[in-house]
Amino acid sequence: MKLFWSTCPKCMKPFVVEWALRHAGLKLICPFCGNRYLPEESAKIDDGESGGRTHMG
Amino acid sequence: MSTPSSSSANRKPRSKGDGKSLSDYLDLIRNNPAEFRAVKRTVNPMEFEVTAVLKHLDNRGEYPTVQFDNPLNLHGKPSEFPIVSNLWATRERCAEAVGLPRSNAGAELGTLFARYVDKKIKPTVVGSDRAPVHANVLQGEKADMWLLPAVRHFEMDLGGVLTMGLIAHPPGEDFYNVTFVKTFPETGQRGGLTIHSTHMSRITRLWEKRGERMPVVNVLGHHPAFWLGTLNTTPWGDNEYATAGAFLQEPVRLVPSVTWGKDFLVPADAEIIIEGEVAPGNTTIVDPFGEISGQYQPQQLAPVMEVTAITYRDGAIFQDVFSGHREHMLMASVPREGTIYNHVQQKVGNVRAVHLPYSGCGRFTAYISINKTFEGHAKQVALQAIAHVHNLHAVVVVDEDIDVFNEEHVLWAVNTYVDPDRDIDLIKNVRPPSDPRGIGSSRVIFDATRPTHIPFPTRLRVPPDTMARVKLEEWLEGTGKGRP
Repeated sequence: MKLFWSTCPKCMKPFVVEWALRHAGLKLICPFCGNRYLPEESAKIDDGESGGRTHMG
Repeated sequence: MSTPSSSSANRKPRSKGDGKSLSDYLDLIRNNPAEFRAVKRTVNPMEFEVTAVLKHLDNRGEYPTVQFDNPLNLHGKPSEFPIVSNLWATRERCAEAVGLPRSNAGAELGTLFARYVDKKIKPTVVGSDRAPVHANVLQGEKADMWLLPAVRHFEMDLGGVLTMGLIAHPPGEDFYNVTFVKTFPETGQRGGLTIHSTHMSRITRLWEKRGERMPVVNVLGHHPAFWLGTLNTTPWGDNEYATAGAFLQEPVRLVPSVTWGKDFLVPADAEIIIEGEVAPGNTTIVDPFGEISGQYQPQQLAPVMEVTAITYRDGAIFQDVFSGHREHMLMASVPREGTIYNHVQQKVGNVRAVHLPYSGCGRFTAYISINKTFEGHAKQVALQAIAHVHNLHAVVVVDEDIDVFNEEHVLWAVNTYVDPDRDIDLIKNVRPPSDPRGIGSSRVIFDATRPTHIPFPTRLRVPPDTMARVKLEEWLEGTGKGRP
């Protein structure tokens, strides 16, 4: 699963998001403050060179 | 019909059904403080008070099942339902749940699963009047998931999550798949579902391809043997109600659902059932959620379940899984040990024991012992295991004199027998066959068996006959009251 980091523009805390949401036009939900915002409104986006990866249960 | 609004003081007495239920198992351990603890005070699961108790116990190396008698629901009001969590947190309890002595919680447990998985006991169908789970039926706006004491487990979790099993069947088929799925109750009537399993993903795609609403049932509590049976990796087309019956050692009793009648049969002896439908293309944002790997699941899109009914038995118990911890690891690792044992024994042979250790989250690493009969035997065993269980990342194969349940022994074999250049194989570009989201694409195999094709040092030992003759309790002074 390819990932990117989004930093919430309100509380400035980062969290990991699946790449499919990067350009989906849907608002992310900050797990720290509940702020809803579009990915392009992120204070910072970090997708690394080729994106991160994760495990699933 | 009733509306849940009371705390433990005025709950209805529990109804007794004809089939095994969660409460029957809890009665076995309820009076043993090492196995069962209760929290009487009011707890708010959304403020992490449930997982704080479980984490404190985990930090102390204690793994009892814990019942929270007075939790708040998602409305912040006293819940009608107590929470039970950490049910599968020891191998001994998993053994006991399927009828094995607690002393047989090692390799014997995995091999019992290997035997039972093909046994199958056909389910029976009963009417609503004989189904405890239909004692209370909520429909329309009254079918409100926020009446449940959903647990928010970890600080970055997006909200309260229902962690138990989802049941579905493919369109036009009458076999049922049961899979653990996370349900995120966004509102009382809708919630996102994170589906990771191969078969449930396939069922979801089949309904979506037809453009039809997929009926699903979320079961929040049943006898532990029911769940352990459904957690086996079974072929497509197997009715997992029949697999569960083998582990329960009696037919799973089913009842026509409230929403679809005989077209969808649900477990009559369950605690709480949510009936719902997934509309094609209807998705929502879910996660983060603290997952099996001990990390948060990334935020993602997930299909939405729209609730049609909630049913529950009198005195129902809300079951939760302490995710990312021993319970979560064991509930799937034990069945998979049986799955791997069966498959590799059939394909290669001479397998002695299989263990999926906690250090690999009970998912990603397998230790397999064999009676090695030829050089290359270990690699054939490992390849078969990797091919059969899609999320295994590492397989370590050892000789039968190594106890795969003793990680120190396994790592001794790795450090002593493995020549990294010859005995470690990296397999690249392996992906799960039908889950496009993937979990990483490489696998690694360790052949940690003693080399037999070259002169090699012999493992030391004290002669067995002397070991048998020298009884420690006869030779040591002090009888445990102090050592000389």
